[in-house]
Amino acid sequence: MAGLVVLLVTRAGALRGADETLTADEVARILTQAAAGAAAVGLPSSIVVVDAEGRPLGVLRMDGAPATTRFEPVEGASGLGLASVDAGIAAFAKAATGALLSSGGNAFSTRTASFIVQEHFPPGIDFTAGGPLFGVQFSSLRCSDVNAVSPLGLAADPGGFPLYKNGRVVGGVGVEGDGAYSLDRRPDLVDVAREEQAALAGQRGFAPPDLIRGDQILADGIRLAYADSAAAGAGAPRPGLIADGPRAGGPSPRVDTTLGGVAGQADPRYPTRAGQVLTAADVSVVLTQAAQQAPRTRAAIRQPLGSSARVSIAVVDLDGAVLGFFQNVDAPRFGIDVAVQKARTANFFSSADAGTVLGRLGLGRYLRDGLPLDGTVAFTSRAVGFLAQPFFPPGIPQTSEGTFSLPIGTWSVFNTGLQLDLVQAGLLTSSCVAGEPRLRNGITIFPGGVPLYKGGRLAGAVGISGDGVDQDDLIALAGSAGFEAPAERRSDQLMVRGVRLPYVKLPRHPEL
Amino acid sequence: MPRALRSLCAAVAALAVLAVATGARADDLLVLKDGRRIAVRRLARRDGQVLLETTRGERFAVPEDQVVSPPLDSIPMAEAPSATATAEQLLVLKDGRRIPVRRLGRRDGTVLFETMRGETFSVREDQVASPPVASIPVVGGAAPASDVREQTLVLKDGRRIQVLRLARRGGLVLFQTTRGEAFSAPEDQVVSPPLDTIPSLDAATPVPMPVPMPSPAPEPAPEATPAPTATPAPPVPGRPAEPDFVPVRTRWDLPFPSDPRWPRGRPLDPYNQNVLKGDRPIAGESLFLVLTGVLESPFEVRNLPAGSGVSAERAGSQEFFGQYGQLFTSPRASVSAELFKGQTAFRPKTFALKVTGAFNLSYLRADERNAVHIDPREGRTRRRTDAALEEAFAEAKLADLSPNFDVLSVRAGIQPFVSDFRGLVFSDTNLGARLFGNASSNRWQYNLAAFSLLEKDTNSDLNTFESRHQRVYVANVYHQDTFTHGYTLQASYHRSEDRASDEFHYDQNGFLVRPARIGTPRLHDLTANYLGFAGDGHLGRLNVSHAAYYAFGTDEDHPLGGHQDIRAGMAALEASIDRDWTRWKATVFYASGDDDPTDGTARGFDSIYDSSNFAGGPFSFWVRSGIALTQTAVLLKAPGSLLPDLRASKFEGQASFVNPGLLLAGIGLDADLTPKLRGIVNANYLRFDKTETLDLLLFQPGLRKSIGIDLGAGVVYRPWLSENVVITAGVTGLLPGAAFEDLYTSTCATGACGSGSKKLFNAFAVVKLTY
Repeated sequence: MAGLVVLLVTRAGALRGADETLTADEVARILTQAAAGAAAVGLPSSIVVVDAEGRPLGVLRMDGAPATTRFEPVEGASGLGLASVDAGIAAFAKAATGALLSSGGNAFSTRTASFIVQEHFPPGIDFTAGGPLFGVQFSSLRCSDVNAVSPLGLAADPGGFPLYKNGRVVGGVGVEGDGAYSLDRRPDLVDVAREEQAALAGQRGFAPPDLIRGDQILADGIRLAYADSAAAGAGAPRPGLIADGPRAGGPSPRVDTTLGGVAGQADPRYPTRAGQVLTAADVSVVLTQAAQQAPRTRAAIRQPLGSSARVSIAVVDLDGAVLGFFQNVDAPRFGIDVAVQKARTANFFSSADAGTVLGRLGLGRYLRDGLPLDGTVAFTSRAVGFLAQPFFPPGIPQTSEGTFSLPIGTWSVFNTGLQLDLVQAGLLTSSCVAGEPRLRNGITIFPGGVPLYKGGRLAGAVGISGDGVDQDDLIALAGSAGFEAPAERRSDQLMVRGVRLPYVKLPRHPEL
Repeated sequence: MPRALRSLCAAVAALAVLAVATGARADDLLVLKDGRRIAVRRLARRDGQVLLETTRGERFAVPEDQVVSPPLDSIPMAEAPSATATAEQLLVLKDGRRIPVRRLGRRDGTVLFETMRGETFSVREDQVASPPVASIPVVGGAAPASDVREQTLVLKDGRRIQVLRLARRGGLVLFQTTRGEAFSAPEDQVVSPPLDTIPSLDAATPVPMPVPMPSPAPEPAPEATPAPTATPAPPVPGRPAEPDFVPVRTRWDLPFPSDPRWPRGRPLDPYNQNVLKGDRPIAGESLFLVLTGVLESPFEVRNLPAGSGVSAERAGSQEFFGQYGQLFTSPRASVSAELFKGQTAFRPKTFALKVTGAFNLSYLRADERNAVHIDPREGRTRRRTDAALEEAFAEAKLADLSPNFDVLSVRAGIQPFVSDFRGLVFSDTNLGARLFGNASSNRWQYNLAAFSLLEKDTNSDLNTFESRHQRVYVANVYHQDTFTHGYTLQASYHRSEDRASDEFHYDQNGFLVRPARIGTPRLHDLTANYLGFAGDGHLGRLNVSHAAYYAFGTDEDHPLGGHQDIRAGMAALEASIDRDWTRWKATVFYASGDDDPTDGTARGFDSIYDSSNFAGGPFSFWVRSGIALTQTAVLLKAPGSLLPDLRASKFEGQASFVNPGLLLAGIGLDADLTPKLRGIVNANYLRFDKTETLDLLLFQPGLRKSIGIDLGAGVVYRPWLSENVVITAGVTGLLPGAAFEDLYTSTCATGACGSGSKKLFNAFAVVKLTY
């Protein structure tokens, strides 16, 4: 019965389309609850609340909270070329991660993120390829031209959760207090984290329906992580300073629309338009085909079972400019940036000058394995990601790293190889990859980006993000119908070190 | 004692007397009422029978009222046995047996006796406790020493026979071979030695025959002569000084008759009498060696669901499903040696030692990568060799519990064990100790077994020397002839303690199998108990085999559902009717499924290690095939099992009581087409009991339940009518139902993707050669 009520609420919320937002009072309450929880577990912390778009609504710094946080992906490793970062920025990344990765069908925490970005999936299990969202931490970066949110990108350090009202994502809360910006390397062991206890305390009253929590979602049979800890009780009030806010959450910058009969949202910044090769009508066809495939496709990461996929769809031009954008209702917002990243990744690596440009950017060490980055091969973001893991083939121990990655001894989620090297210099600037406009917001190294061809030549790319990666591939492929790469030029014709590269991979029994 | 037997014994005794009665000697004609006229050499009467010896030396008896001529009163009455025959004595043997005997005699270190039933036996003198050996009269007397010498008898047909004794009587040459067999041949057939050198018995002084007993060796089969009566006459032993006993040291020295129907065994011939196959003791009278060699070569061509993999074999493999073809062979040679003390029948072994070594070669070629190994660089083929100590156990009898061979024995080491009639819960060859025995003249049988399981090799399923960290305890008791003859009931208790929580276990092909890589893969312990009740046998014409189990216990942290209380059940019934050369079978099987994987109660039935010979067994696609639950890292069902139990590996994986369960109804026909060829046809309808587990695991709600129709047909061919060469071959397949459409297709509306149902079949042939 409870499940039914939850289901109805979720469905109703999802269908309504109108955004719920947090009020300033609610933001203050969440900050206070989290602070009381942190006090109860004895962890003076920095606490951040963001809205659904990842915009900060309030920051609270408790007395005694550490000012900075070390990068600690693994023992002794550094990341981003930085040793430590402001604790408030870390807390903000956690809050934004909770907000952006979640939707009315899935509530993901930073622990969920940790579970799906490591070199094995599930983490700690040998002979398994990297997580489905391998590398997603370097998206929605502050330097992005598409969705500038977090200086550090997304976080995998437990202590960030989404906030819900009436089954709708209204924001996220992040707690940073233990001085380490880390991740959960052994999800098979229970890891009681005080930051997580405090964040869950902050989430009280704004928790997602139990049904859609990350640990109710199974990807390829694997149950995702959500929280290892229970919410902290309320501790003695401890003085702290609300350094910023509290403010009420703002409206969505996107506008409701329908495309091919499918309800969703468009981004006013990206009206459908013609590119160098694609006409506006071509772009519209691609967007529409993809938009229509999503509701037919059974979601891989949404509860209740049998929901349809809800994704962000972006078409980019040869120069990386966004030619059109559409989002199904309630698609998780991390996909806005990632859909464009994926499209740009496919477009760039399929370009004739990709190798030349990487060399020019000082990334020549990734030009190896005889990989033809000269426009003769159509690369998807899946193919690029396949080459960007610290094992090759992905997940197989005692192998050397993939073409675009680093040896496992130096690799970490904060040091992923080509993906990080592209954006590292621009991380804290206004353009992630200053030297290459086609990759302005960085690249994605997991599936969902497919190059578009017209008349046998590259014409741009389409990127899909927001559901399971195979579902993203399916929707991208459906979108690209009529603009597919010639079969003989696709990356699955290539063997690298005796291993066939993938192109796209479709789900088992994909449709509803 | 039945009257017929009594009179028969009397006739034996009388005939013996007749044989020595010189006055009865005459060549007469016996005329019977049915018109037969029989030339006889001797005639006598006793107990209403006329005893006769034909001129050919054959002895028979007919009722007196069948005789027409000569007049009965002209036929002498047979005299009572000689005075040395005593009325009744008790022979006490050292093993405690007390035997009432009618006659006793001693010769050549053995004591000869005739029981009150008229049966004659001998034992070694040193086995006799009472009466004192010295008080037993020496009989017969050994033949003169000069008579016993090895010489060659040459017959006209060219046969050369090594003989120990030779004598002549009544136109026949009697001889005893060096093997102790006694025969005779007509004098005119003898080439050498010269007849006049062969001592004649006709003129010899008759030796009193105190103990009339049949010769231990049968006479050569007589030529087909019309028997004077339907009552076969017992062989009549004893002519004067003829070796009436041929003492053999043990019963194992009793030879087979010389006849082409009983070929002499050779060490290389496993079928006929062979000391290496335990047909004769290798030392003493009860120490046997059994050597067995088996070469088994299964060969399979099969189509089973397979994903194409991210790194695929072929370009353009964007479809989830790949090509299903597989080619598999796994020839295995095993050699075993068993040494035991006992007998080959009836008496349980006093002790036994057995060792089996196996060498296995496995070869798999799949159409797609990732099937043979998780690393796509391994390609599409896998060759592995594996050697293992498959059996190594010692067995000892602890106690004799009754005079009827009810015993208590113990067997320890790596040993085979099947815990019920059909291997539905535990069937394995593994390390353990087993106390077993029987009672009430074998009406009850019981086992108390404890196993500490060894890990199996991933590809050969042979034992390794690593521990599986699992203990299995089984207690069962069988009762034979319950309700009716030929129907056996069994009650059992099983307990499996799976303590596999020390570290992640990957199989040799790189797949995580313990814990299974589904849900939240955490190391976890599992304890399952089974209460079982089973029966097997026939109720009148109806053959019945049935079983019911209730499983309970705890799964500490099931990957899909967390902590689970196990509450599951299984029921199986097979009924069959034999009609002439056919057996018609009907089968139903039920394994409960789990209706909510996360409610903390696991209601899906799983076994410990089943190897089910049920619902068609190897001739059923479902039972035979291991079917992957594609998109996950578990099997929908393991090979050789009935249960869709979602294990990562049948042996290396852990039981999972969170599973969809199964309902099966089937029919089958076994037909003995010829004595050498059996045909088998089998059809089952299968459906899942509950699909909620699969719904959650695959994130695909509303999976339907119908698995489909499983069809199988095959033959078992035994060209030599023995188990030494067995060829099994068959074809099985599945007509997929709605559940398989939901699980194993990937069609989509736009046509951009779309793999429909593919053919699922398994064609196999197994050649098994056994020495």
